[in-house]
Amino acid sequence: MELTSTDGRVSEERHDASLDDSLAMEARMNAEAFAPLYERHTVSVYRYLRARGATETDAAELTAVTFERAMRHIDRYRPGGSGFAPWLFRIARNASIDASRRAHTRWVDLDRLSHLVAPGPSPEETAIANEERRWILGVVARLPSIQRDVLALRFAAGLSGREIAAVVGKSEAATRKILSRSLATLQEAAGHDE
Amino acid sequence: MTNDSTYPGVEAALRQAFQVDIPADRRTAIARRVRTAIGAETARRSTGLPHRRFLLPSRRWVLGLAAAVLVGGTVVGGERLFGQLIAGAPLLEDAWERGTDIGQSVTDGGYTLVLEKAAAGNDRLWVALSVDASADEGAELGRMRVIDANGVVMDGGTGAGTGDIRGTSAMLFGFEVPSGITPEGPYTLEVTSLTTADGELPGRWTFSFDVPLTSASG
Repeated sequence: MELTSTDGRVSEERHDASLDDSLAMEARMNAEAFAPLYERHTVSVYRYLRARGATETDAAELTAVTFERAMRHIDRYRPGGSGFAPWLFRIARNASIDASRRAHTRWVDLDRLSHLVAPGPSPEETAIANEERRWILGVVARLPSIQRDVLALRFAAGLSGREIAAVVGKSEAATRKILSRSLATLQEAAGHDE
Repeated sequence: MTNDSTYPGVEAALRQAFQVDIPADRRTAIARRVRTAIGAETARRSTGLPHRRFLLPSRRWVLGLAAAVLVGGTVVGGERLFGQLIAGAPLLEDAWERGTDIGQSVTDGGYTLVLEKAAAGNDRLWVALSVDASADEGAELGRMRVIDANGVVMDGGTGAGTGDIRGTSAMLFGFEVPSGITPEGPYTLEVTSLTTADGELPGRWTFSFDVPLTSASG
């Protein structure tokens, strides 16, 4: 079977936890059933890894590693807990941390973040949009690592507060505070630059 | 989250900034890798599973497991050994069930260590490790310790291992958390030697990971 991944769906229906659980349960019995889980989560995992500062090449490699590990350990996933997405993103996060440590790179590098700025088709609008991206990614890069991670899980991966809490190992309330503080910092920075 | 609309401009900018697509060639390469993984998993599930289990006493440095024991059967991956390791051992099974999947691997000197799972409790920090030898001679875990985010060193405890099974061994080890300390991630696990048939083999296998603190004491 040809594997595909869904473009751009980083929220809403992807977080149908019951569907994920059903697919995961099926994959525990039949490995072929893992394919739909891959298709549902590929883009969000890739975006999350890019948001953590991975280059295009590294993000693709780590995305593959994430799903390889998830496939190998699918029998250890327990449906009904925090959910499949947090389980999957914990694998992605650990793979990213491991890779960064081995490569002796910073968690988020400003130069690497600039790779997130895709070349655009229309000169003026693209220039403005890219400038905004560079600015906000630059501010994000200066935030504490836990704030960067929460922002990436929220706005790149599209996870809910409960799911993010499960990934980073903090309470939902604490996670919400971290997110709120991060956004406030960005808002304040935006105000200063205006 | 409740504060989704508190900073709509910033949130929209973040979504836009992080919205990158996977280039077609990368997407194809990833799909090929996952396709291969699914095929490998299908094949793996059809193989048998030998086992061997013993317990280690607590000591300051974890040093050496028992001599290698070969068990009949096919060559197996480390992750498959854990099922047999925890079978019939409630404490280990509880630690295993509470564990968070890590899946990190580090290779040094021809030996690949895989940190499969970890679980942090108030009394113990559990790690599930497998050792895979590229050569015929297998090895088991030797010296290792865990350091938490605050620099607290945990280097003693109790564990159980499979012993070497045709080049692969697996171990569940619970590091004792010092009295009065609440462990805090991220953690660093340092393995600085393995035990082979020829003796202690120095090396460096370092893992960085983070797991939530669970309420169970084990």
